[in-house]
Amino acid sequence: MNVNSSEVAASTHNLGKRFGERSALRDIDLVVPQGVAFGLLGPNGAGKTTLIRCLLGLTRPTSGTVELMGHAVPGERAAALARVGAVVEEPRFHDHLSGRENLRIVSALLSDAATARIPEVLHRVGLSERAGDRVASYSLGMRQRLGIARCLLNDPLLLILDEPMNGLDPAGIQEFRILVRALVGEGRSVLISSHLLDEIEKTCDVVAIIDRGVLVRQAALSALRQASGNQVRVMVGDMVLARAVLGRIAWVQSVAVEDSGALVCTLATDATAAALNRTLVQAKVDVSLLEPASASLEQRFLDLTTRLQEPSNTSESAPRRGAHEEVRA
Amino acid sequence: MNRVIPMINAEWLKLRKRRGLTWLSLLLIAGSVLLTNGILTLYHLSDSAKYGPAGGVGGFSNSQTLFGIAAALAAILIGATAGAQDVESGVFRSLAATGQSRVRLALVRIPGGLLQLIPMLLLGYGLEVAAVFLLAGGTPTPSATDLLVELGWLLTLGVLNFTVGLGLAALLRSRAFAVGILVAWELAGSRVIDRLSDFGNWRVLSSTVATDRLLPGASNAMTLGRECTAPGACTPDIVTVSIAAALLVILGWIVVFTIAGVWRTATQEA
Repeated sequence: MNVNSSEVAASTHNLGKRFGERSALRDIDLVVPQGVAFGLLGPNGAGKTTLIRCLLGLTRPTSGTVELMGHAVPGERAAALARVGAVVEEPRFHDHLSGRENLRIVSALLSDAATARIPEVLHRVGLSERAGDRVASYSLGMRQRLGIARCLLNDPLLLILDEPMNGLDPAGIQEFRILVRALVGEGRSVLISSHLLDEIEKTCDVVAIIDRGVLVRQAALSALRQASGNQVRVMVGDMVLARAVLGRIAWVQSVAVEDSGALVCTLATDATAAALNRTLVQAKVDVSLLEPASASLEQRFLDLTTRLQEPSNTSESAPRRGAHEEVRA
Repeated sequence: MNRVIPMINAEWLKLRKRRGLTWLSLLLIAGSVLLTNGILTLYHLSDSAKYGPAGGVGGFSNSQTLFGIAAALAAILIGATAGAQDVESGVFRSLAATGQSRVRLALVRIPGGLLQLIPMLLLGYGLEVAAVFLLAGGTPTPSATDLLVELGWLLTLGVLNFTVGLGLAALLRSRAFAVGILVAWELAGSRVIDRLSDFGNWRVLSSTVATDRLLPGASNAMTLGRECTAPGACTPDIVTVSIAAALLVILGWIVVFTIAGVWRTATQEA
């Protein structure tokens, strides 16, 4: 497969969706680059599934535009979805049919090539041996895998997976992670909606955080972690002496102690870790570790979403919308 | 995307793999023929002077009512299943997400479902014709024309009830509701309305009046019951229906319910 990595797989502009008086999505500007694992994070009810349904043309947005694989949705829906595979909410099937027959139902809508690909996709998700069994006998994890197999039938450039790790055991989650990375390695984009921060952190390159229908942040995962300020983590020999020294330095704005015993120092923006190291060593403090401190995704997620819960930030007139710091991994 | 034939096959696959539905439909269609002829044979064996043979022209006429009701019920069941199974199983969203035309998704259900229904109707018809000849007991047998007219009536009845079931189930997004409403209409509602003389010739629009007009031996002047102005002063309650009018009414029912089902499938949020 040959994919131009500079292409955008999906994008929205000022996307809004209302259900009666309730605003489910507000002014969403999302950019999903081609060739990345893209995590769509948000608490339950944040609007993730509604956003996915708008992307796929399953529901009409109230305002704004959607583009998928360079085609407007819903205007050019057929062309837009020709190379997109999706599982929205839990994967559902005809329980009285086998896994293979369920794939035949969908491939009949796609192409003869899709039908020919059924054995390959079943093998890829590890369901070849159970493909002839009725889906009614499948576990939730097997249904998730069959859902992914269904997505792969049209050799998609973009896969949209809504909560794909629900029901998977730890081994299944690891297999899923490997599968996603393999798909990305082939140049495909995989958009994963989830509230499982740890898995998104392990799987995705780019993350968008959505809360109460508002896109609060979209950035490369590394940029998101670093966005917590100029912090360094230091392990020292003499903690008391080190804190005394640090307390006297004007450009060290704060010092916190982690459970591990490391000191996390917040420095002024123009200060450097090298200067901190030099100061500590000159004060006879042994430094055994000095590294940039990055916030975990969970920490950043909670920072960004809990701030929204403050009344002053929930106003419709001033939604918090994250700048696109960096959308390439 | 010219995927019509594979899509029809897919619809047929979904239906024929429903073993319960397949066996129930077969039981209704073939069972009604076997049951009617079995009972008529027992009557004949118990008192041949009073009861004629199960087959022949008389048996042919006697078995039509139950056979027609059974065929209609089977058609309703298959149609309603075809109309609602994607939505009820939750698969519709995945099908819509392929980008395939929703109108096409709705329309291919018709040939896909008829592939399931029509062989069953032909089986029932074959059993009935066999019984008519094998159990004639020396009495006259129906003409080839009558047999053909009966076949036309049976197929029309089946297609009508199938498409109405399909359209209503798609419209309501529920097989159970659609089956409930249509069984009530087929077994009771339409039969009551057909006999209400206050409706006069408007009863021509009833699906059951229209299909009954297509039965072998039916005439333009259809007697639907008796109209009594006083005790003992009753006259036959007659409506006039030509075959062309009956066919137009049937076509109208098919078109209206098909459009309703297609509209719902094309516009519903997935």
